Amino acid sequence: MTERTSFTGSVAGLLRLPAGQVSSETELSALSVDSFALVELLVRLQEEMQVRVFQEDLREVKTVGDLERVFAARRREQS
Amino acid sequence: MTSLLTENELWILSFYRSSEISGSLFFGRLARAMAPGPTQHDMTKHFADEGMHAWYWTSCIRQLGAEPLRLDESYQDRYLAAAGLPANLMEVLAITLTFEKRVIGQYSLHRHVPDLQPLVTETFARIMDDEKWHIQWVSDAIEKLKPEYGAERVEATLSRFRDADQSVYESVLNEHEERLAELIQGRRNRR
Repeated sequence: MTERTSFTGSVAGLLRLPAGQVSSETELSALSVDSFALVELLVRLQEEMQVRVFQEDLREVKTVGDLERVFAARRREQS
Repeated sequence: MTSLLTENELWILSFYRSSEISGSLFFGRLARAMAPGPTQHDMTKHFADEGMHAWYWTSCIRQLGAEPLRLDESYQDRYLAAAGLPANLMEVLAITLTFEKRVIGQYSLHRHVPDLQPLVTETFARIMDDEKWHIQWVSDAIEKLKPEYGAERVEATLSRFRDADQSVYESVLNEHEERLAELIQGRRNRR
């Protein structure tokens, strides 16, 4: 399993969505989840990946792929 | 039974109820998302408290002969819209601390309105004790996160959320002030 698949799979799993419904191109706004669920998702992803991301990181995030790149960049910085 | 609440009182108490429900749902989700440990433990009590507060307001309104209004928007919705989504645990706690301080301020203001129904005063008293603990545990948890996130970043985050809080409060102040003013006037008129 690739890292990309793993990230999108984690997002789908944590949001309880079918895996096929989430790809790197999927816009977060299209996931039909409320803001509380997005915060829960971010906290869970950080717990699982042992990475810290910040509010300013999310300003340009539109898709799941954008979010993955934020996590990857912070992981490189914090490792 | 005839309602002992004015229209404005009912709206305000229903707004408090909705905000407590939103708080409980938010913190419940976070408690589910967090790793086990002391913060998760306190967060679990926090969301249980908020759920109880929603129940206190529901009971209070019904005992005063009314039914809670179903309000679509809570204070938290406006908060997240203005402050942006908190992205990590420290930011969640920072926005929570700012919000809890605002709640205590608003409840303190309201509980000093003259001639409140005794049950409303009692409900404020029950909730305020919990709210003081909320501020204490969240402050302690933020302090413990400073080594991990950096004290400067934590202070900057708190400052940013305080600014957002002020902006949200100012945006709803007229609405609340108007309702509170009418409420006070209404009570005086009943004398």
